[in-house]
Order: sequence, then structure tokens, then C-alpha cells
Amino acid sequence: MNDAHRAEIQEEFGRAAEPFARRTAGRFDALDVVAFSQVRPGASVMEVGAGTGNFLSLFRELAGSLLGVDLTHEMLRVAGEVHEGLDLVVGDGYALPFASGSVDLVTSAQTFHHLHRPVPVLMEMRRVAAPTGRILVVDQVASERYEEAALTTDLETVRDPTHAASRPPSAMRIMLGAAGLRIIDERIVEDQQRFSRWMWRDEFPQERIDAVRAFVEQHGDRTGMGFEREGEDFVFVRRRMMLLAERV
Amino acid sequence: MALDPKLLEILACPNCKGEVEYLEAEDFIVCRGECGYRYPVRDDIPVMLIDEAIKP
Repeated sequence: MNDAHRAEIQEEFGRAAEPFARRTAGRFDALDVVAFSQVRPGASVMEVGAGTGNFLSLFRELAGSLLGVDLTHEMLRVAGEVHEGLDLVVGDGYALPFASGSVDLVTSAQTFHHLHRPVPVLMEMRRVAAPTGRILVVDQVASERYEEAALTTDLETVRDPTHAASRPPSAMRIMLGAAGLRIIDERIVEDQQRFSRWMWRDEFPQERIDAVRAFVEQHGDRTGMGFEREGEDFVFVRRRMMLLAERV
Repeated sequence: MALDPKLLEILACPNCKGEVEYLEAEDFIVCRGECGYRYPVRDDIPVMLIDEAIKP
């Protein structure tokens, strides 16, 4: 990751770590991700881009250890306050500070859309995974139609300047293959979201909320995200993809 | 609170991937591999970023 983009991520996520933790609590509950991951009891589980630890903590019942890695110290500090028993390390996905073959399940959730060059990070996740280990990637996905995906990237970048790319499912599959991973299973989960929740006032400055609303009003129907007015609010469909892979 | 021994077992230098050692008294992780970079520990969280390492 180049220095400017890293600094931008550290600033954006250091700015509002606590409201971020509250807004995103429960956002992975519908995914049934622990069963999907096929994780064995007692396994070591790592998350790259762990943020405030909501995703990683889903594995608490089964895992032998939980390790959260993130670029932003402030996010991890909040993770340590909200969740007990996490090991936390500030680290960069492009240069993970771990021995090769040391983790049973290497995960990443809602992180790859922040990365301009995802394949080197997937290669690092592959390196750190045990020979019989697994890699689990969860991220929001865009439409397979190029114009819709491009507008989704534009919208997400207005909302969050650290956003890099909204990718369709086909791109996610290609990325994993390019990193030397074989996909074992995949699933796409849709859920309906509200604009007022997505652009939560406790988390985002008002001018950002206004800019995103203006974008949705002008281009929302061409993003493939299914924006519909509901009184003063909008609803839309968020699609998330889960991919489980192993080393080739 | 000290760092988890299980974490220290798998922690490696992000720069040269060498083994590291936790210097508890100084609260630093030091690379014992090729580069010898030193990484600070803040609020019990090792900061394993190459940019923030102290180079020898």
C-alpha cells in the first residue's frame, strides 16, 4: 500500500472508531459465516482488516485463538475494549508480520474494497495460512454490469475517500485465483439497508451525508444497488459475497 | 498486561520475515533476523509497520 493511501485509511478509521463499532455491530449476523468457514474447533483464526473486531468475534465459540490485524491502532484499541480475548496487532496486509504457515483460518471481511491492489494481500494471506489452512474473504460486491459497478465505486468513494473499488463477483473469483487460491465454496447474501443508517449522523460529517444523498438522487438508479425512496429516506440492497478457499 | 505467548510464537518481522523477540522491559518487539528493526508496543498492541519501525 502506498504511504498516502495508508495515511488516509488511518485517518478515516481513526476519526470515528467508536460510532463505527456501534453502527456495524451485527452486520455479519445473517451470514452464518462460522458454518460456512468449516472452521475446526480449536483452530487459530486471524482477520486482516479486523477494525473493531465484530467479524472476528463471531468465531469466539469455536476458535482456539482470535487474532485481529489492522492498519489503524485506534480501531484495535476499541476492539480490545468491546471484545475480550482478542490478540491485536497493527499490521499492513501487504507485509503481514507473521510466520509462514502459522494460522488455520485467515479471514478478511469488508476490507478488499479499500485495496487498490488486492492480489498481493491475498498472496500474503495465503503465505500465512497453514498448508491445510483456509482463506475466507467476505466483501460487498457490485453489479456485473461495468457501468453500474463504476458508478457504485464513485458513490462509495464520495461516502468514504478510502474506498478503492466496488468489484463484481467475477472479479473476486479472478483475484483469488491469481493469488494461488482454489475456491471451495462461495455464497452471495443480500440484505436491505437504509440510507439513514448507512450514512449515520454519529459517524459521518453532515457535508459528507449531503454529498452522498445528492449522488444517490442523481445517479442512484444506475448503480444496480436498487435505490428506492421511502419518505425522506432511501432503501437499497447490499450484496455481500463470501468465498472460502484453500492453497493450490 | 503482557503479550500473549501464542501470539509471540507466530509474530515475525514484516520487513525480512525474521524471528522477533519481545523486550518486555522496553516494550519493544525487536527483529532477530536480517534487518534488526524495532517495533513499538502501544497499549499492549504491537505496531508492526515497517514505516514506524526504528531502524538500526
